[in-house]
Amino acid sequence: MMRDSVAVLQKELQEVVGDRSSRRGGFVQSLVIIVVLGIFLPSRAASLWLAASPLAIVSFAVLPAVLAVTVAADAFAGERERRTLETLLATPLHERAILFGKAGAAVLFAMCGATFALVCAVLTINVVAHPAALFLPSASMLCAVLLGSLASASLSTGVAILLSMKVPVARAVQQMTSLSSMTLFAGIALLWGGLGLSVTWTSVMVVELVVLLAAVALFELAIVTFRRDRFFERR
Amino acid sequence: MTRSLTPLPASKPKPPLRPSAGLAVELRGVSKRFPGSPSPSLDSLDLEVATGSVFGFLGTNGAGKTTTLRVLLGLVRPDEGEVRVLGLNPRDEARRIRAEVGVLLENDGLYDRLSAMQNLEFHARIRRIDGPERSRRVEELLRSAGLWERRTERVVTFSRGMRQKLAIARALVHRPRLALLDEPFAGLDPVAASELRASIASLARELGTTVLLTTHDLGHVEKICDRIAFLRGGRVVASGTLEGLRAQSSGVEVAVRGAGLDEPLLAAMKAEGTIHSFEWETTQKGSARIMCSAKHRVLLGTELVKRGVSLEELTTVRASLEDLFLSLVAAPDSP
Repeated sequence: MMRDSVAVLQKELQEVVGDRSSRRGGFVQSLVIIVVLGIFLPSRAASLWLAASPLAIVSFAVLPAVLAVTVAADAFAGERERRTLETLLATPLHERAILFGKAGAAVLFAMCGATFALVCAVLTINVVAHPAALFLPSASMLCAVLLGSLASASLSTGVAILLSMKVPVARAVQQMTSLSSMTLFAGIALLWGGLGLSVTWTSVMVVELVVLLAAVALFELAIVTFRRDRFFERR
Repeated sequence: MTRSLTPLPASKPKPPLRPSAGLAVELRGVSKRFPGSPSPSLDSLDLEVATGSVFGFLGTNGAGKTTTLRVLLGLVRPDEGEVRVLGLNPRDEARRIRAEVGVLLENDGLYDRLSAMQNLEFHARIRRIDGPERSRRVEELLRSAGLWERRTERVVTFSRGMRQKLAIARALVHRPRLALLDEPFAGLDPVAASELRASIASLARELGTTVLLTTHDLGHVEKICDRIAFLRGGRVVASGTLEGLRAQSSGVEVAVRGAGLDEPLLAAMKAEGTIHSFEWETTQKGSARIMCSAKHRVLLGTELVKRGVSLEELTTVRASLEDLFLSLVAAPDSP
């Protein structure tokens, strides 16, 4: 099944790269995210980065979700719109292989974006703040950024894939997922503040882990829900 | 005009279906009604397709052809009835069936944003065709489809015919035991259609692949299908070889020419029920085309002579597949 998942993942990424009609839009969107995450925010909060405060990387826990949604929303709704879904479902691919391949592509895409933004952020800090020694993120910061990106991208991917199985229009899935993900992240932030929890690397990573577990639960739900014949219940 | 060819199966209990050697597809009493639909898409459908044959599945839009293909692939679960595809039950062994079957469905299902080669490679990969064999197979199919020179171009730039050729190549990439082709000739020019007919024929003849195809172009069916089935309202209303169906046809078209043959005479014969209908030939004096039953055809000459016609010609015009199609599946009042 791993081989099949990788084949689907590769196909999904080839589609993202091959989509010239939305490539410009995607490029602009990715550029905005990278500029915001990698240049603008680090340059405004260089002191937080240099002090290795967890608040420096809060945006990394949210914005990869936006990148993931653009790919994940396309999973079933996009294939249905382009009339390729039936042929895909007529292949011997296992349901899990299809889901993991599609989800993997979305998360990988977001992770690549987040990693690139992190590299830009480190460069920005070194250029803007002129630290005495070369600034490099600590192991905690690196882990929190990567885990946060993975968790937020996975969560929004899970939501998008579940919606994509029900909602026939990719654009609608994208909007609904973005809205629900943002509401969820805002809810976590409010809850955090409301409970008066301290912002430490450990607490950040615990919350990220909880979000990641929630994403895994969503994938499990997607696997349970995914039945080929459900796509053809109406003629 | 309604012509009943083969008696419709009565709704009676049927013995359980056992996989039969020599049959690639077997459906017995298969019914499917989609939620909210006033009529069933499939209504006690019975169908048998022999291994290695080219089988034509004919019917108007909405007759149930696509639903049947989906049932065979395990994409739609029938409400009742039994299905075997290559001896396997789609309810429990759908993945094995999908692995053995090549499909071209209603839509070509090609990824517009991928190149022709990427499309084929993806399907070859998930069919477990690896390494040099995959490259060789993909190249062979692209060359035979005439798309090798454009293999790196994205499919969105392809014409309808090119897409159709590529989709058929994709369906055959794993050398399936059964090919389900929904409208394979759509969008192909006559040369390409003729080439595809030859490919389908050789698939069945040389590789033993069973081909089940649907088409609205009846000319193709006449040229390549060993057997055909007419579908109407989710039921097979007739099936068999083309010649067999023609022979069973209760309607025959007869070209008649002779002195004394006139319109009032034919109108009287129609009123008596000796003939079904007639068309007066305007290009040739004293000529008409008469539609009558096979039974009346035997006595038609004697009857005309008895009525004072001096016959010069009386020829049975073979019923075309289109006539059969129209009478069987397109007549508004047929059962």
